[in-house]
Amino acid sequence: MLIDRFVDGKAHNYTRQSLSQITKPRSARIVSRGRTPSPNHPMQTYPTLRSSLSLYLLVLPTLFLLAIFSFVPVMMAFYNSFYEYEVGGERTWVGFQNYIDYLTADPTAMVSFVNMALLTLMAIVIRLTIPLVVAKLIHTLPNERHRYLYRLAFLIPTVVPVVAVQLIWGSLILGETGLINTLLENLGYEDLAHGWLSDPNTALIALACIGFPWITGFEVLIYYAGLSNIPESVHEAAQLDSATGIKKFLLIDVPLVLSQIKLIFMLVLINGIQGFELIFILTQGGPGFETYVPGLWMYENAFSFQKMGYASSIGVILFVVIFMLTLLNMKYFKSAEDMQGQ
Amino acid sequence: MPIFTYTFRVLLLIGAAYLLWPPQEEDVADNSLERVLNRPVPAQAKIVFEFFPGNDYMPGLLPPTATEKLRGFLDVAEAFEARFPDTAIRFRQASAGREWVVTQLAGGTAPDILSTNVEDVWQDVHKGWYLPLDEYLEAPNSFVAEGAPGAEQWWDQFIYQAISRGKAAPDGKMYNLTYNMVETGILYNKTALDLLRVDYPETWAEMMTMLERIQANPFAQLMAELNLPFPRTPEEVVEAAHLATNPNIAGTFNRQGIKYPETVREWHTFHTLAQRSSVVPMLTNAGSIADWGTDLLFDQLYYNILPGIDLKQDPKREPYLEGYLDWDEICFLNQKGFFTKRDPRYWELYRLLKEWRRTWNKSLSGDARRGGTDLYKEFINQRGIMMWGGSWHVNRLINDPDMDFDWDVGYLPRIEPSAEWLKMTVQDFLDTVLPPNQRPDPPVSSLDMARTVDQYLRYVGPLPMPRDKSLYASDVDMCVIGGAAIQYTVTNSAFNDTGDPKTSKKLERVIQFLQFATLPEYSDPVVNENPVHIPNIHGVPITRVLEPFTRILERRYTTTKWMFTFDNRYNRVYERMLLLYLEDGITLDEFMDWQTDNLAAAAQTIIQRKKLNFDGFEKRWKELAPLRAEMTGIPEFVDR
Amino acid sequence: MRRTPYLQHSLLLIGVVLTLVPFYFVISNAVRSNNEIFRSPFGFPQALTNMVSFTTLSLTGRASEISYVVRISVDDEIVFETRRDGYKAAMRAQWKIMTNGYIYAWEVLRGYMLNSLLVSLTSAVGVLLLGSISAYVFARYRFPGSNILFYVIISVMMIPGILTLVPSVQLVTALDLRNSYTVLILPYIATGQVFAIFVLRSFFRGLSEDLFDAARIDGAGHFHLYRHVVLPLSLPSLSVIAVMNILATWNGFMWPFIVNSDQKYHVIASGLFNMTTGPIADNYSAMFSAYVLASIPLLLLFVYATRPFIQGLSTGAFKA
Repeated sequence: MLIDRFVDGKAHNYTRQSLSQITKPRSARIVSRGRTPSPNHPMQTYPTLRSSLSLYLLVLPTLFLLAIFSFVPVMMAFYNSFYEYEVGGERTWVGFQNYIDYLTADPTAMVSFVNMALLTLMAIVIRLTIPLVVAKLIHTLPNERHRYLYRLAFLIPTVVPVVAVQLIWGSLILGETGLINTLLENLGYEDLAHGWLSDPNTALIALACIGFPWITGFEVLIYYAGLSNIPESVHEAAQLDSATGIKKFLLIDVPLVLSQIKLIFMLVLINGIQGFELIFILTQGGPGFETYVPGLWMYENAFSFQKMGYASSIGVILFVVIFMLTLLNMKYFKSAEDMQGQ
Repeated sequence: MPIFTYTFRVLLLIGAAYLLWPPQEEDVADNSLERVLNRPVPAQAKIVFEFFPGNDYMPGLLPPTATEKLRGFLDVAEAFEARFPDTAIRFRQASAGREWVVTQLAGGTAPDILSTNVEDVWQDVHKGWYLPLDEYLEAPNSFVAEGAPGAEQWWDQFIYQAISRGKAAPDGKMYNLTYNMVETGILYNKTALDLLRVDYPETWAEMMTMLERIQANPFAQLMAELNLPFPRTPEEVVEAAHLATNPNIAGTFNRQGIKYPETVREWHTFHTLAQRSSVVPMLTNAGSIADWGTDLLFDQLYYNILPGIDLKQDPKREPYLEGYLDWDEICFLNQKGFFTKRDPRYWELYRLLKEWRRTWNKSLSGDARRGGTDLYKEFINQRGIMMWGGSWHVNRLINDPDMDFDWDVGYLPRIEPSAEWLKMTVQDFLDTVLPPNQRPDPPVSSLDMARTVDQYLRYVGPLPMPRDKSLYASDVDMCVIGGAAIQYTVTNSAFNDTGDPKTSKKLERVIQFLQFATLPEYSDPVVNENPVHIPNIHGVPITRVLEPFTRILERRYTTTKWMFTFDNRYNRVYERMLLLYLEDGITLDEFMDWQTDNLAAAAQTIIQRKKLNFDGFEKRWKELAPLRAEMTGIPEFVDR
Repeated sequence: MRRTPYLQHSLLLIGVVLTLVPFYFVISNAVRSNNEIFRSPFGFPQALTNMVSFTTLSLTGRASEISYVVRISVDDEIVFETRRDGYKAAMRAQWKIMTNGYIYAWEVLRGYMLNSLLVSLTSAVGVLLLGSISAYVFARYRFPGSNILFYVIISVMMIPGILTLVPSVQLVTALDLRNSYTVLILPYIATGQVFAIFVLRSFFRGLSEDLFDAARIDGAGHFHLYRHVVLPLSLPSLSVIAVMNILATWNGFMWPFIVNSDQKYHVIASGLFNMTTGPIADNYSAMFSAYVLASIPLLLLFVYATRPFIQGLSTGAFKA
């Protein structure tokens, strides 16, 4: 999750400055030597390794944990993807064969990526708009108690364990005698009632619809905080310009909460690309391969079929996808503060 | 207000602490799950081993089929520990699925005695994870008194010898103990069948007709035409009986083929079914069909060619597994064209499944708890008339206070053969056998009309078939596919104190515990506390309700069990593609393409993993060629 | 501007109703008996209607008419029926029906709840501790390699969890950490602290150097600077990070599920999933009760933490 660095008010300038200093040639850098604190330069500089020993020690636990649980697994993943082996079996070098197999010969590859793209796209569209609208609606309420209660009410789906929500939707709403089918039968449309999760035509859509009406409390909170940050002066200025209602919302509020939108966008994007819990619990890939996503296939290959190397190669491919999207995001999306700063 | 909020929070903390505090020993029954899992190990216990008895017998659990929390094995463990104070037994829980077992075993952390499916064990015997039990089974059971079964050989204690011995792995060794038996069957709503004036079907054709009749829901149609009372007491029933003489009513009932209800139960069932907009004739789900459905139909269609393709005979397993096809035979046959697109019987299998699917419930996917259909619930509510269930359902049905209809246990009827069609000409076949609305597409050319059906199928293409009979049915009763239920294996962690089974004290105790647990007096409380399985040990009484299943168990065993032959990948892909096919996502053609590839890939994996050698099979194949020369329905372009 | 915002309220109420419909059924089914749920999955709890009718009967002086029939099956033939007469006994019978599911579910869930609390709280504390210390170092001190180290640490945020899933499991197996608490807590701390470092560093950068100078003149070392200068000022940000961490670790299902097979070490998320594959899954009443019980801690968290959370999000440091 990459969050734009150039955001906070006061440190903004310092950060940009120090970064730009690093990109200058070494001779041009202004580096204060020794421990003379300078009122303009916030950082203490320790020129030698020995004198910074205590600092290294302080950072050591962080680095140690990261090394074990992040860096080593990443390297192992890359390493494993060039082998093919089974748990308890031997290891054989196959080079890029795993990648080639996955991208060309695997029946699920195309379908998984399409599913993943569709689900992620839908999640982005929904989760960027609906909670924002709801947050705005809550924000405009005059009574503080009401605002609190509404925020709490919408938090309830976040509070129920995700596993439970998925199971509730699976059995209570979508099942053979679930809410939807019962309603359809009672209204007389029993022909329309069918197994939503087992019918290949509807399985993916049914999965995407889980969570209706998608007003997730967590995002509402974040947008709400963003909206609260907009100073009153902006609203008053807008009123003077007689911009009201929806126009005001679209032209004024939205750009000012752009950093929150960006945050949620990145979270949803990354979760959409690698998430497969929902599908794992409800359909395990669904009829045929209709509801497969790459993450699920990777999990199955690793833990059910014991094809560790193959699974690692899928993981690496997903990593590349996320990495490229993150770079794109950094390059092309600028937040409000960026635009202000310029 | 601050005082108020703070006291509230303090109260909250106190309440949370109270709830979360581990309950005191005396307050909690000793067979609560938590206590069972955390039984203390006494100081003098030098040998500790772990035991997973299976979810059906785990003490502390309350399965829906039992009336109280289980404690059977807890008592057995305590008795054993009293006898051998140097031993302590710990209970462990397990997760379902082969992934869990494999990761545990690979890490050496599996329980020492494990309840698992023996066919899963067969897949991994070459990794040395399990202990062969032959030497112990052929020795006496040290706890049995003189003269009782088991005094000479532990084997003698088991009732179903053929099934139990048949569970030996293809490498010839016995890796598990069959503790009890299970059997699947069809539970059906007898009251509804009585109302429909049908007996339980004896052939596939009868069954399909009956299922289709139920699907049309004649009860609802009756209710639409007539206005009938709803008697709820015997007196009201007597009053309502007068209406049966009314010619209008009687005529309508006769037209629909329904009996006029005569008891309170029948009236209740009648009205319940009549109020439904749709009634499901057969309740099942994709997992069961991929497993049992495939095996049963496969057996029906391949039994009569077994003499020509059964290449391996294993004297140790033969009495029961006569004709069983192991994975090496299947891989070899696959190379010869069997179980591929070129195999007409294989096509037939899936055609029949599709026809049958029309009478099932709508949502076939998954588990009841995960968006799938809860079959039991649908059956009890009379939304479905027949349910594919098993011996584990009966105790639940009996104890269910909402049961308000008569039910019974049946089995899948046999498919009638129709081999005479092969000799008919295509013209006759289309005129006499096929219903008029089923015509071949593309149409049969006039040249081909004179051919026999057999020639047409072999050289030209497929023909549509009636839904309730099969050209290749073997004219035998349906086989049984269940059999062993709870099977206990001893894993390699049971002798990890010395690493050698011969010298391990821990293993000695483990085996002794198993012998102890198979004594009738200790097996009885376990098996009959949760009566879902049929006991396999002499001297253990069987719960009366399970008796219909003992009759089913007398049938012969199936030809092969597909879901246990190959690896997980094959199983997953198969189940999913089958579901897709059954839900009209792909045509039979496409499904056969998929399945051919899937099976070929799985066979390839097995050949590599186990380094199979087919020379012996080739020889036998040639020897059996004369038998095959007279068989029909064999893949074409194959050296006969 | 003082007019009641009818439009907003009605829209929001529709949203609330739609959101809460599934959860209403969960709560109502949690107090019904299993057979009741079988018969009508979406009905109103019979026990509540009974209690209401009993109460009205007793209040209108017809207490003698109150009786409730309870069916107990003793063996495979006899279903034993017994009547509960009188207001108290009948009410108690209803209460027993309502709480049956909860009691059974709580027995299974209690261990999971404790584990979840332990894991979430410990990892939140760990993240805050390690994150703030490292952020403090990176924010206010420059030493050889500090920038490189910082970017290396931040780059971890770009690694998708899925890439490291399989190798982490292998690593943890090799280190023999499976089936323990450490394997649940440490990876969460490892990944959570990155975000904390990122956010807190920019926040700490913004603090004025004068504060530090003043403290240093008084002879404060790193520890005192940290504890007395930095921490008190950053409480809002810390609470935001803590809440986000607790949310993530509480709901994390995949990792505990794969890595801990022993039931003793499961957290709520993976424990609930395991319950669906065990015999308790057929007991709908218990399962729904389990969902309700499992939601309560997070609900309490949000009741108390929403305001600090929003405040923290609104401070200048956290415009992420």
